Amino acid sequence: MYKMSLMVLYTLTLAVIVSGLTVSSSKAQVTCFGDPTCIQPETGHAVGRPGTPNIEVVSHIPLPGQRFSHADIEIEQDLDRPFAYIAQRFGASGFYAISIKDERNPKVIYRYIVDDPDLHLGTGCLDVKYAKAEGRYYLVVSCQFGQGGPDSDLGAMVFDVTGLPDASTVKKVADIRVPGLIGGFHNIFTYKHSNGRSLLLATTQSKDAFIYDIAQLVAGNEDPVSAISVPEPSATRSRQWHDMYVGFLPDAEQDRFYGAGTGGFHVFDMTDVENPRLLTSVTGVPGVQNGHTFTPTPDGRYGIGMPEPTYQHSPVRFFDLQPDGPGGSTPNVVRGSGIGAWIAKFGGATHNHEIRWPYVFISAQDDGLQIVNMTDPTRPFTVGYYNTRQGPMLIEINPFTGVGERPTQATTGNIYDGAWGVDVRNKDGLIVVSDFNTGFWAFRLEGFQGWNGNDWGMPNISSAQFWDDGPNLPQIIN
Amino acid sequence: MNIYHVLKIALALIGIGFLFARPVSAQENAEKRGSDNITVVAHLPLGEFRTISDVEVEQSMSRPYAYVGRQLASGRPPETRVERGMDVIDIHDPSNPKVIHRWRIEDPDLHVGGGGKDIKTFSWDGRHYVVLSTQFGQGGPDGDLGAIIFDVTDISDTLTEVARIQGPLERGGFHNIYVYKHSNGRVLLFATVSAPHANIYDLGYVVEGRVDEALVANVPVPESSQTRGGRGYHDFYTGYHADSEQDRFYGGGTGGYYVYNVTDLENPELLVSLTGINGVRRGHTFTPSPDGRYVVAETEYQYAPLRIFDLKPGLDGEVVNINRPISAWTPNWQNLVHNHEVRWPLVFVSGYRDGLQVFTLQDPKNPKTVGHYDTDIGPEEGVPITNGAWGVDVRNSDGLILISDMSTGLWLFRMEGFKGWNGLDWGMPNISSEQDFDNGPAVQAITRQ
Repeated sequence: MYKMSLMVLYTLTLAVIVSGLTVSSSKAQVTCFGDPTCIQPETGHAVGRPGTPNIEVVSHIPLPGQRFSHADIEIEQDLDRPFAYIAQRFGASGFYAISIKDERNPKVIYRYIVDDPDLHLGTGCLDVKYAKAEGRYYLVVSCQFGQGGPDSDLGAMVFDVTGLPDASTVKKVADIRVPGLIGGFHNIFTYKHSNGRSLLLATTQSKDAFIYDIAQLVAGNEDPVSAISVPEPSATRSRQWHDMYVGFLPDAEQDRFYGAGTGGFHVFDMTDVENPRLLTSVTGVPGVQNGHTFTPTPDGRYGIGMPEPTYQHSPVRFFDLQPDGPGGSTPNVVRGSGIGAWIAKFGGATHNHEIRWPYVFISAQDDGLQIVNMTDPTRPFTVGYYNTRQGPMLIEINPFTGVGERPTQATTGNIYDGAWGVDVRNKDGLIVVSDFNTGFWAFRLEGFQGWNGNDWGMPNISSAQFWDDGPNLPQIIN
Repeated sequence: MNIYHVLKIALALIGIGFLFARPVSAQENAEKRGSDNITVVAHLPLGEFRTISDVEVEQSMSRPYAYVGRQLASGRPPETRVERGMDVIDIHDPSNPKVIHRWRIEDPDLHVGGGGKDIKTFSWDGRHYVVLSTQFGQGGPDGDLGAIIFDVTDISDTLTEVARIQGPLERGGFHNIYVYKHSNGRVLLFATVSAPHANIYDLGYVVEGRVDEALVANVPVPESSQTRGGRGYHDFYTGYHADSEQDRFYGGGTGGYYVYNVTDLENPELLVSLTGINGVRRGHTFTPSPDGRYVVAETEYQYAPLRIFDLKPGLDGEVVNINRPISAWTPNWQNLVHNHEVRWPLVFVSGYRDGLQVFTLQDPKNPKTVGHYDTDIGPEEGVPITNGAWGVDVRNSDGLILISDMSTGLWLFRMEGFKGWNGLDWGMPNISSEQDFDNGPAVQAITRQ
């Protein structure tokens, strides 16, 4: 018995030591070996857990096209028009129209590809926005084709999509060409102005963002009705605006333009469309030479901005656009690092964002869909995420050759993989994401069943437009 | 022994086994100020909030003294006492450091601006000196004072001022300085100035009374599209490159970072520039590995990590400019770090709010933190993000680590397993910020003392 006890003791001792060393070793090496809780260094998440439990994948459909070819996304806000659109760049450049009538089984119902795609050079089509003017629905697709091929003067195409889901009714009604500014439009924004006009704003290869009247465009007048210039143009940059947002500010009864571009971020009053007036600039921000994306809160008090390029290690910065100035005034230049910042991971960088106060829905490139709560803008925090990227984390692949150049965990440059665009349907809270490679995704966030700013003590102002009534509706803010 | 005793012992062993199984990367909790491998040797408060700048320790064990700059940093309360100058600390007994001199600028109430900023030591002709860089503002005396040189040979008894580098070419003072024993035998002071270059002074001339002749050369900040609107350096390092037998200058400034061959002082040759880096408009601190291949680069703003670059493509002539780091490191992305000392593969960092930080560059593409200690756990609300550990230095002979914290004073540390540094022990030239004032860098690079 004694000998047997000793044998048991020795065996157990050996087993404990071996198991201890094994566990310690496995943690140190981060080799998962089927451990469902282990974070895979290649992907950044545990097996089968690309997202938080409060994010439901409603649907996902891969889209054809070259790698890194799926660009921005837009969803129509009216539940009676359940359509989403994704721009496609590179190769077969154009756009997809996707029916989400059955949101769990989305279908591509229309695809537009430019004529002679093989002859076209440059990036191709990037941004996509819809609008309604004079009772009809239009889709505007911005493009950037290079010199040496067709359409280098093409800024955007306008399609009449009123007849969807009948794809045969989709018709291109206008090409917006800018022969004097070769290189097209990088980003666009459609806005229902308080004066009743449906407007298209577009970044150009110049210091200006052009403003078009959509009704005039479809009637054949391609000339912009106005332009907004970056306050202090750079002598070394061609495209000086990168992106913009326009929102109505009920308190001031102003239509405000929030532009990201040379020097940082700039706010203009464009109530008088033909005479925009600079209100505030956020410049001299350390780490931000130029702005990429700039979106305000519904009350216009705070703005969140990303630098251009969206470089690795750069967080999203939160700015107070009405800081206390001398004598209680608001300074017309905001400087400094902002009042808060957020980043999904140290090595990451985000791309676009949609604010539905207090949430910010972010297409975070390598980090997929990220949702941040900014109730306290000085302390934003993550409330949910889902990784839409397929493939190793932070891999850098040359988009032109498709060859992985730095398959390490530190690519250290710009990040162009994962989630490009994000949009939110306010009526029911459906979240849609376009991923560079994996295509179309639809999500729901637990407890987020739609958005109206008034429910949060804010004006009901977001990127969703009131095409029929305009933005200056009575607000019911408790 | 019955089976139950055996099971009891086995259960105890299982518990021990789980202790051993603790992940090596376990995080410290919030109440713990540092990692287990960092020992606080001593802490010496020196004065009021935000009045402390850089630190320097003499490298010879026979001269156990540390020097700390004293300044008035922005963000201090208005009632803060004016103490611009330098503190000299005796560390014969490292666990009981003592302030033996508190040198202050004369007419303190008339002076405006920061005061004592950077501090370096050197030896010349058998005597030992300290250089204190200063920056005083316009509207008071000494706005054109760059540095004050003290003879500290008999520092236990006397501290003697021997020279001032002052004049129109030094207007605005020296924000940073670096002392280097050049391969030509001269001891040089590199100084930032309000101009598109760094000044180089011959410290031998300075202490021999030939201050007017001491400005012997300068290193330019190259002009490019990245450097419009005023150029200048913020900080630099100069080190001997053993393979090429070159004295190389590594400067951080307008546009980014620059590496010059300064072997021929009168004809500095730009070897490679690092500009057009995303998130970097102005370089701050820039320090190479002992072999000159990798560099650690800082740009000073909140959220900025330290970036690691591989200079090889530039030094090999494949490119003339490098704009992409190979990796980055930060202890906390919400903060920023300040200065650093490279003792390959370790990098010792004065990390402002994050205190002393030590990371390894053994795999330069994947830098990893290996130790830390928070030197300032005071309030953060309303306090500039640039508060906490300002300067760091390492005594190579025994591995003593020093931190000057802007608000809490001087800290002395030891790190487990780090008992000194000689590059040769790591397969590298024995090159760091430590200078061999007797033999010069070419000998130092190959000497195991």
